[in-house]
Amino acid sequence: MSNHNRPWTALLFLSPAAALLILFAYWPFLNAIRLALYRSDGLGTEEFTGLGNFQLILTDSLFWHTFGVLAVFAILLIPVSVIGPLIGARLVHGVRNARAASIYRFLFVLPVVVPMVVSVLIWRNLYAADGVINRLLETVGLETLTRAWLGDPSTVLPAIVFMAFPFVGGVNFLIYLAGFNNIPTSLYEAAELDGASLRHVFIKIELPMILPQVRIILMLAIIAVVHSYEHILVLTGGGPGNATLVPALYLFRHGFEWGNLGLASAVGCLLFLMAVGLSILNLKYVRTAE
Amino acid sequence: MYVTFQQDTGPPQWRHAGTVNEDVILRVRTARIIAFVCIGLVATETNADLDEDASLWRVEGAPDGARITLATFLGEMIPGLRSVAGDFEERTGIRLVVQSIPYASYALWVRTQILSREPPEVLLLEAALMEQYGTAGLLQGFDEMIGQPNPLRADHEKAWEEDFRFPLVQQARDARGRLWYLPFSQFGLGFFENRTLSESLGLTAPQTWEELMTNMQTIRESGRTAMMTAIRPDDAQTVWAAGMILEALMRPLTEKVNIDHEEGWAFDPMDRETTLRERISLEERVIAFERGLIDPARSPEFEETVRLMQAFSSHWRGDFLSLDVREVFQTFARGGVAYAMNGTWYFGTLLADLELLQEVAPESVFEYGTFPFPELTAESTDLPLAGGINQTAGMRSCFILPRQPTAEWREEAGRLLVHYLTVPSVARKVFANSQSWDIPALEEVDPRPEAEPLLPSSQYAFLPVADFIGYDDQALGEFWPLWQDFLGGRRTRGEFLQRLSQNHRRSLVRLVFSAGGEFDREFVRRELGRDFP
Amino acid sequence: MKSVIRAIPLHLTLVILSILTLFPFLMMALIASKDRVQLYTGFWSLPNPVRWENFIEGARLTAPFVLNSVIVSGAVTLACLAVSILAAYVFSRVRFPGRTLIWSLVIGLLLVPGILVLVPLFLTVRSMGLFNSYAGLVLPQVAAGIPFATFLFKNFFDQLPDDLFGAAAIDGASDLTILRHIVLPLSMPIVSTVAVLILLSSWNNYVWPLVITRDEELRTIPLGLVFLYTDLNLSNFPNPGLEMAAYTMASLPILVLFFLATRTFIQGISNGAIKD
Repeated sequence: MSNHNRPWTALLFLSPAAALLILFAYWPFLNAIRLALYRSDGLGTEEFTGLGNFQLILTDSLFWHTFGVLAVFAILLIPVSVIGPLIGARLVHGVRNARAASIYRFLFVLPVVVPMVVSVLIWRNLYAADGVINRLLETVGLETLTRAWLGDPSTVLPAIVFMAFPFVGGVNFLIYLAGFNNIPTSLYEAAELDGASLRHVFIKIELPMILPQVRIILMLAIIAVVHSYEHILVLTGGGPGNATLVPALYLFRHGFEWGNLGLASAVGCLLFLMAVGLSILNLKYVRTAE
Repeated sequence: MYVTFQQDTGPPQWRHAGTVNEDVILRVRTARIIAFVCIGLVATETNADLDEDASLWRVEGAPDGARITLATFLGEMIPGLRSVAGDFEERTGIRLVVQSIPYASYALWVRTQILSREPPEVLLLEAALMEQYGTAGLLQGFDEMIGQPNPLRADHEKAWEEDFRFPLVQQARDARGRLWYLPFSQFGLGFFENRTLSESLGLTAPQTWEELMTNMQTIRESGRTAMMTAIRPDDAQTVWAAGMILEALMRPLTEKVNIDHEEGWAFDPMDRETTLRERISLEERVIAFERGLIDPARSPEFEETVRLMQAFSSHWRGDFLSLDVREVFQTFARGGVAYAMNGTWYFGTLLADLELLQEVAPESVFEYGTFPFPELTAESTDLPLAGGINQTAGMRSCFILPRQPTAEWREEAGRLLVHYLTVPSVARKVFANSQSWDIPALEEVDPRPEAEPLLPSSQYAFLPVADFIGYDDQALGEFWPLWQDFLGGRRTRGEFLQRLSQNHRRSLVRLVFSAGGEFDREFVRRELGRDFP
Repeated sequence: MKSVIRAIPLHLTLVILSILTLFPFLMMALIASKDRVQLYTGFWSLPNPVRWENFIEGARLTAPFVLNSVIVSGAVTLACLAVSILAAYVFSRVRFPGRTLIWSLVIGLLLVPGILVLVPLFLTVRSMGLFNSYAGLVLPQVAAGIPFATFLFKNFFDQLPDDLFGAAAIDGASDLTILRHIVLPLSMPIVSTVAVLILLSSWNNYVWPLVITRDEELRTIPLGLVFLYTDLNLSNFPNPGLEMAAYTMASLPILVLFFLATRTFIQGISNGAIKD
């Protein structure tokens, strides 16, 4: 009876999820889209403006600036959050001792429990003018390189990206590891018979086998970089100047601080469209690669 | 007056030298999280100024076991507020719950609490980001109450407004002249000084702008750090400094801007009475802006303010764009920095850090002092001056009364509570039990001895015709990046003023828009010969 | 012997990477074990002696919020698992009109920025009378977890061999029976994986509990901690040791759970739970 047309079962099984999603996901989402078409402070006063909010945003040079910042973040962050965990997973996958492997797995994922505010505090200490990084540079005779890392627009973006150092752990690592463990041992045995080098095995066997994972992680990474702003809010507040102002933070400021909720919703809709566009590209591109 | 560190044996004590009562001794216990500060003077306070007439204390419609909430992000005020909750309940039968708000998220928290239709009856916050709620009709204004006497006061019948330090109520009004905020404490901009360091260089506390600049030059030439400050939206000292300078420089323009005034009104910069009943309306501000009087791009006063601030900033430690206020204090307390500008007076932090220093590195312990923001003189600027700097940097904490859609009595209880908390004897108790060194907004409540030097020594008429940052919350938000870029050397003075001018104009346009029919277009057209915007 | 020697560089790399990865966590614990004097004299040095009292005080301060977090995150996780498994089973094994369309609608939710819907969602929940209640805390978080959970479950169910279902159907088993007796036992790895992912995100959720609660009695750990920061006036009287100890103690319950679950969890993932 698998895969038969049974609309009543579908209806029955789907109804709890559907009820929750309609109430707490689709309905708010539709409201947010509606709000984007209004000039509204989100507190009661509303005036229909059609696409006026979108026009305001798209003609605001600051908005385009935030996209520039986002682009830099994306270019720096997406590759490391896709490749870093891949390296981590490949290394752990190479561990023959099962107990050791499980310990590494645990350690690589554990920092997920550290609250964001704590890691921000630690990294502020590292980046401070008299912090460890600068002191280290002085010790090795590179005084000329010391600087206020978070106060300099040319270093603040890489500094924020670097907070995820060494990039190998986290949930993405687990997803990759699952992919590696799923590669049939027969493929490895065949490669060993051919005397293939490790690099060859990686490129010819492993990489194609974990492409689905790459696709998922790429998608998660895109979503994360487009949507997240909290750590920037806490670390630099978007500064210095507007050097770290990303679109989501621009949305936050308009919507929750300056009382332009309609405008903020329009920004959110654009972010949503962007995420959709990038995901479609991702799906197409990676599928072609497969 | 200076606070002197006595380097004798026994527990560390900070003793006030000079004119202040010798027996006021502060003991700071850092072994605990909270440093309790006991000031003996206020312990025996009576409530003679409280009206005991029971009818005044009854809230119509309040149910049995009624409970109201006061929420604040000022953690330092919480013990003080809680210390009077029992007395308030005894008098009114209403239980008062004092609860905290996380500072970093307060904008979001307040917004959703107000949208919940069951917001706390009273909020004690800073005014930033709150005006939108007043404009949306979600706050009770103080406009009518402030002209009446505080009904709970037994000792006089003067208008409530006169209980507050001048010119706080004036400063608290929004750009359209409405009063959503009731001041409870104020900023007093000034400096912490490492006296051991400055005396070793033969320097005394500067009294004028010129002296400050010369001192800082000397300090820097000696290889020390002259001054540290932070430039972040949660760290407004540099903006207060600019605002105070601008207010002083703009004072001669008052009559040109305040064109819609009482019959026969004339401005006297040395007489605050001449500004008490006047305010700059949105229409007047728009007209003055369009005439170029208060337009940053065209006003010599703006240009001069920015020039002075730029010169000032050349003496700051170079990492000011990356610092936050905590780091400024930590570094100052560790010695080696001559001055730290401040307006919120974290004496508690400093005292605790100095005690730490005493324990860890006694040889680096230093004597510290405070001095108020220096005076502008003819030497500092070529522009004409009419009086000097009003050292009150503005309102810090203020009470806000959200409307209560669910129950009328809650609004009344909120009003009763703020009337209660601003009766001097009650406010004294609140401040005495708090961990705050802020200057109380009430005239009759003295600041802590350490903060006393920061009370304005002279006062000039106060009717600020322009606001340095702009005129609404968005303008404030847009100001910060611009200010950081300018002081960080990534924008020239001309570019900064051009952009600031655009920000100012946009905030005026937004305000005119939200004022709707209340905006007197006819008046503006008559004056300018055209419409705005 | 030869293989052991060959493995040394690998282990060395992994140990270094583990330490670097753990760095924020280690720092949290390090700062937590010092008092202000120790932090002043050596921010990076090892504590001597360890200030255990920080941890005791931290545990005392956070204890009231732990129960709430357990209730809320537990309820979110269980509810989310239940509804997502049902939904995923349908999307994977039952054909019905509009399946592809509805499926992409569900997946599309992953792309909606949370901050965009925050206020509309808040207003919805408020108008249902759920402001300041456990239901208001839990239900929207369940809904937020459904798309990702369903996505992972569906991928797993898709890989189960068709014969299983065919055989069951011949026996006349109902969908619910198949789900309970065939699908679920085989799916424990993915169930534990998703459970941990949902649990973690609910445990760390700060913004939703912040906006939807008012009373102290409803605060979860991340929320309780930031309120505590104001309550203890830590911005004026910083005490990083205690602060970090509170964070450390608050993360202990989840850590213990994580450790216990790690076996099933890792097994789940190793068995290819998350595969496209």
